[in-house]
Amino acid sequence: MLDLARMEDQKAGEWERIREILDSALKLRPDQRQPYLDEACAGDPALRSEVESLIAASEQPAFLDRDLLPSLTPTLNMTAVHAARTIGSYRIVDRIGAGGMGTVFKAVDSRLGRTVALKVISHSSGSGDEKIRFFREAKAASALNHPNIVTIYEYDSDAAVDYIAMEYIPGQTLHAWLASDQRPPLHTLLGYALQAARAIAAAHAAGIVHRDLKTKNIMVTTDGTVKVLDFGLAKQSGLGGPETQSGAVLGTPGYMSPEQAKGEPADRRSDIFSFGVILYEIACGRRPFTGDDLPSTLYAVVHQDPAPVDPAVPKELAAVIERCLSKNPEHRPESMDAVLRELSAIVDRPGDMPKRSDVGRRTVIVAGAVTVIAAATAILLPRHDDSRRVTYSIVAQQMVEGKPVGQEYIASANDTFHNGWRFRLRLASPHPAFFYVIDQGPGASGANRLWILYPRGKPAAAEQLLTEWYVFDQNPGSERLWMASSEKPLALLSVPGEVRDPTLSRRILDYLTELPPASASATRDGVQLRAAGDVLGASIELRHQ
Amino acid sequence: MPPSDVTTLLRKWTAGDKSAIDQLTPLIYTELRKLAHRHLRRERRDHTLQSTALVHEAWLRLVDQKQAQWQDRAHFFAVSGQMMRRILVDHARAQHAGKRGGGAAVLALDEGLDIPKQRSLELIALDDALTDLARLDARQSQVIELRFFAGLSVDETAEALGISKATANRDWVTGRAWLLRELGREGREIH
Repeated sequence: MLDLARMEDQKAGEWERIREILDSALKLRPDQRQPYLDEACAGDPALRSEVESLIAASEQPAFLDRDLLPSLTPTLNMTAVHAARTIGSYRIVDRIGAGGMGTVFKAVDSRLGRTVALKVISHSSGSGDEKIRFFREAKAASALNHPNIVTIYEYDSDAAVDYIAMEYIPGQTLHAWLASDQRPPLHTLLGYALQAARAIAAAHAAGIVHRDLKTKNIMVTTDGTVKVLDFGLAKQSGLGGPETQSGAVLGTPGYMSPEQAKGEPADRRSDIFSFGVILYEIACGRRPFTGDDLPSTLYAVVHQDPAPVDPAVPKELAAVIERCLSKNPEHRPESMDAVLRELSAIVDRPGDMPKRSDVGRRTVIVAGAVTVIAAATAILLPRHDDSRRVTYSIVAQQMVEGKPVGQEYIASANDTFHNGWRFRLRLASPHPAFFYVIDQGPGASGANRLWILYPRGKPAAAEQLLTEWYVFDQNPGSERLWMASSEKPLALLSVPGEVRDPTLSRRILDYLTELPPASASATRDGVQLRAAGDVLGASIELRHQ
Repeated sequence: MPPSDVTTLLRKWTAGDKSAIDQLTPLIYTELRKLAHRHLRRERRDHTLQSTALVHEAWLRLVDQKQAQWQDRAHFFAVSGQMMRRILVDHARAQHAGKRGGGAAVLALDEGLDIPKQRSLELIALDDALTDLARLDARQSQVIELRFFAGLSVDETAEALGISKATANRDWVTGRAWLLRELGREGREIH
């Protein structure tokens, strides 16, 4: 009995010591803890390991709750507990993430019924500095009203936590997109960058500098809208308040500007630098400044030039990137508006844009080219030009889980399409014509079958046709898209849908293949075909996996 | 019992009259129990368990808000938090034992009350852990208890227990870490 009591006393005494060290350690920044522990636990590895395991435990994103039983047990079902919890007038639905500053939950506003994202930080965790930053974010972002900046609804405190209620954004970050198997094409990514640029320009116009721009702070919603997040380090000019400790480095290494890396104050031009890093990552598939650890990354930012941009990247884009990444802020573009203008010019010029970036990714088999032979045109055409002319282009868009994502772009001859892309055809003729689109491809059974995709009902003459969306066939093999343009409606092609009668199928194919060959030339809007006669027929081969 | 009696007793107790707590306790306990049962009986399928909300409701019902002061509230919540812990944990253990169908004679505190199984396991685990923590430092265990079951802030906890804010904060931060580690251990037995 006595021994037990003494043991208990000893344990209590030990605990007192552990607790003091733990308390001091938790008040330090994570990078300061190791040296502190070296000193405080010198010669006692058991003590150190005890303290370290407690530090690790306290850093788990456990949800702390005053109204409900605390979910201290990560192994137990957090979600069931969350479902019952309310903060203010918000009912917690799920935990979305845990970041440097607090935990983010999906919640429902019980007054308005709308879904929000709730960023929560408990009163007891976090230093005074962090608190100030937490609310600074709320103030900064709520001063902005822009479609590409996440909307802040309110921020408040209850007895246990501080929280910010903001727009809930379903989607994934640019960082995730760049790393995924379905990395979007360059054109789409630049479209995202453009939206982000607009957001940053708007913030600058309002006097707010973000200071922590990176691909993880750019959200892309399921419909391709970009939202810039996390103005946690934002500095609002004119907003008084204590600055962070001098010499403290803020931001994310690898994205921060040389001046930030040196601990100097950041301004709009620092945001421009960080944006340049993002553009570089988009264009080249890798980061411009990397290192094994924090100091070497910062060294690279301050002293090293990034590897040159790949030659496949358009020159104008490479030029913008290079200027944004100038070490000297004076040499960078003068404002985000200027960057925005240059980027817009690049993005909105589909004809000159490379349609796809294969950089850093394995390319698979290629889609086909126009299969019709280009004839020696000038001599063979009759003198009065009764040739038909049609210009066509294929517009493609990526789909994720059945929903379209990102921008549409004009596919070119060397594009690769994975499963989950959709496309439509644009056809144009100088005079009204009857258009037909026929799909010849491997059916599920592997046999060749015809499908009259357009028109779906009674044909009508028009100068332009934009078909509906079609999804690329899942079956591997070759697919051929026929396009026909005629002055008069073609009886043979009058019944839409799948051609089930093999005899009819044969006749249609014979007809199409016996049409006079067309000459093809590339134009700004697509491929222009010309052929003699009343009817022009041409086809595109699509080979897919 | 009209609220003024509780208010008066509470004031006396806060002012230092130790005997007041003996009369106060059963009054509070009765109210808490009544509220807990009413709430649990009304539960919807998602089973919200609002320990601190119940304590808060008891506070509103029993004490004259115009007369009560901040310190009174802290003390009321402190004692209520402790009682709530007992009420809920006792019930959870009874339920748990009953569900295991074990040998112990189980008397459910009340019929018709049902804390969902998951919740009762959490409660029991927490209660055990707090008891273990109390062996290391009784006061620290109380700090955690008050924060969880009564929803007191660190400052209010300090007031209720008569300790400094720094101490209360340290107890909270380190106690929380300890609990997180203990409860996160795989295979922690529920007794």
